[in-house]
Amino acid sequence: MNTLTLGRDLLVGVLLVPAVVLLLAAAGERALHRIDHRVAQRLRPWGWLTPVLVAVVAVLVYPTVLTLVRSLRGADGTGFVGLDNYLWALTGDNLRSLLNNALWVVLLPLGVVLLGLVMAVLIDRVRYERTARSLLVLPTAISLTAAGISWRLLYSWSPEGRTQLGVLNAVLTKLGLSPVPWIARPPSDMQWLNTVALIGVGVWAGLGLSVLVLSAAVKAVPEELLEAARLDGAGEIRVFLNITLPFVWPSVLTVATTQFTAAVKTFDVVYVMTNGGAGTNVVANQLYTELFRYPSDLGHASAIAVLLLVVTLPVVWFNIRSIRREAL
Amino acid sequence: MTAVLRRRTRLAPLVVAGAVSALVLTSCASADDSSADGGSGSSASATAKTLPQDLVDAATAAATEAAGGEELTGSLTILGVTGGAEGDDLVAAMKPFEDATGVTIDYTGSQDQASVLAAGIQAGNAPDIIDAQGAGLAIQYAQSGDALSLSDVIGDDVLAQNYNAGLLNSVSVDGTVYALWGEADTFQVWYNTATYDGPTEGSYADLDAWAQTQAAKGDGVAPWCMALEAGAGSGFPAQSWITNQFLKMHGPEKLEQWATGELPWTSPEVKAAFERFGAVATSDTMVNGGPQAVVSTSIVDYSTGMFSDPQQCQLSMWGNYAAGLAQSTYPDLSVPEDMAFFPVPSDDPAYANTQLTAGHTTFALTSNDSPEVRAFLKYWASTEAQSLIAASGRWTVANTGVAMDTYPNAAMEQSAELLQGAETLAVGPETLAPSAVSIAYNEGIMAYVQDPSKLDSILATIQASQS
Repeated sequence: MNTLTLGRDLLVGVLLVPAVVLLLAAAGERALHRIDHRVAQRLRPWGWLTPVLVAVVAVLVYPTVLTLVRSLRGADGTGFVGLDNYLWALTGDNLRSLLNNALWVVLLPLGVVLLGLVMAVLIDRVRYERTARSLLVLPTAISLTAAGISWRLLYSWSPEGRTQLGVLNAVLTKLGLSPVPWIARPPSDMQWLNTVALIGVGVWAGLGLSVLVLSAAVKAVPEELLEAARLDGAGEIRVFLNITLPFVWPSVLTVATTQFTAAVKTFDVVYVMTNGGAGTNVVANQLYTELFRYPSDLGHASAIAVLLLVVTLPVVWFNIRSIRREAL
Repeated sequence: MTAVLRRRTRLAPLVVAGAVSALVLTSCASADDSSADGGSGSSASATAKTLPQDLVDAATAAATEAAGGEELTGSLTILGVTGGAEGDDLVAAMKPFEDATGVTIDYTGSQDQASVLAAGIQAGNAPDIIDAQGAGLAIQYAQSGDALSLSDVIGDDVLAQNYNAGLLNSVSVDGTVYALWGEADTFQVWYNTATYDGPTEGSYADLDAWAQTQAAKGDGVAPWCMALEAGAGSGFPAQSWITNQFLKMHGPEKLEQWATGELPWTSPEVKAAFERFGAVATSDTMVNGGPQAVVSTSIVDYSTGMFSDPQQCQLSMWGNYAAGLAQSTYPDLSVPEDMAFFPVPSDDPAYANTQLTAGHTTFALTSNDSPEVRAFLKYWASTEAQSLIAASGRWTVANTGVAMDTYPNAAMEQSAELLQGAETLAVGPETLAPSAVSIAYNEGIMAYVQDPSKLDSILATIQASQS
């Protein structure tokens, strides 16, 4: 992007759009002043809501409906093929992708929450807490694409006896162990571990936010309760399980559910690091391939998108509900 | 407390509305810079290699002629595949056009070009010029009626004068030419002159016999070098390996049938070519580090094992760019003194002088037709413009008018001789097939190296991607 287009985008985004929205709102308010007070009272919320509703319909509702329709159509978006696309999405090579996604869905939230909790509790007790937390949050500032490329290098493997360019294998070799082909295991050698290695990158990238949220929750646990429990002779683990954990539980759920949705639609790390090779394909990567290679298959891509939506919806609903409850 | 809260809620819709519409509009506004991941933008005025001034002057004159006295304005967006220093060299060859016509060029290179282009077309902001890997994209858009006819823009006589007939044929649909061949790579067998003592001529059987003897020695120096890890494009160097075997086994006519989809991937001919590749790539002793290393090692180290200490391998069958890539690790390496090549051997003497090529083709879409686009295509087809690409020393070019002494290094000059001296130039499926097939070809190669027993089902999968 050159400076000219950047300047133009800034102008449009920062100044023009809010200006237009404000003008519209002002015009609406003026119009409302002219009509009967009670009617105006009823209309006012809608006037204010309209810009948002228009945006939501344009960027969310319309594409969703279009995707639903296309998932029942052929590769070029015409004809009617019934549930063929869904049948395809749930069988053959796609079964592997689904299983990999299942692995992501279980391990990513688990890893992020468990490590996040441990870190949050531990850094609460050290003097260099700020530094530690900053270090943990740092990966959040790195895009998953960049993280993927860096981790591809960290995971790099050479045959035993050769110079190991990957840091992890270099360390293993120094310790006298055999180097591990982290993301390139062959089918004969527990290939699902390749996916676990990719999930590791996801955990590393997601940990920062998790620590932020959970450490705030940990700080909110009343000190006197902890004191009382300790005085009553409870060990640190007991204190954690019976007092800290129940207090931070809502935050744990928030982190877990966001990581769950991230796991369902995981793409960046897989695309950058293996592009679905070595048995690591996931549903979203397949969606990308179906949609953007030539000739593309709109039917397949749409069916996958709908499946992703269906799987994510309950969690999103649950998440919104718990956020609302917290707000009350 | 409540007052603060209420104030906040009253303000909230306004803030949200502003934020949402700002997001929506900015995303539209920035959609026309087509840089995607792996992409890198550069403008033509960016750092350029110093090119011989006489060549630059000649190209500027050619650009003025291409403009044909028309007043050209505005800018051209060009979507290519090469970024970084390679992209800069390509952009340097475009600069005389900018200087001569006043049109600014916005070049973006993306390794994921096919997807970026498809997304751009779907979003209604296709680039003006596409510099594509292979001819598959151009052919697809020509068949759907969306590509600009170069027979019209440039003229068949000029095209026939500047390009090999076989190459023109590869970018034609129903006798009309739709794309220009730019960089055209040759493929050869590279070796380390200091250590290699095997045959440099003769048949593939001779070379293979030597390789088997080397492999049997068990001294840790494999006969073949290879490395296929390239992120989303992993596997691609093996495409030319396999296609070359096919060409040398079954000849250019059969190759065209395969490349255009007439001969199925499940045919015995294709399978035989894959198996010849597999005899090397899936063997623990024939290839550097064994199959696990082949799929895990970055393509940057495709041939570096020839020069490593201790030496790891001896031969590297790859493009003419293999020398430049090896030099990025070993800068003191010189060609042909340290690293030299011989043509890919054939068992059938009839195909000994057929040369496989692959490279870039440039085309435009009818939707973006403009005097500027036409002028650029005329310029790009000229020997003067292509000479600048040759002068970068990075690639050999298809344009037959480019003089041999334009190439600044022996690796490229000798490769150009291989290219221009070949009896027949042939292109394979990696050049002609649509991107879906090429992606499946790459994925199939990676899967095959990891599990050779699956070859039949892998070939069936690639065949299925064609329909």
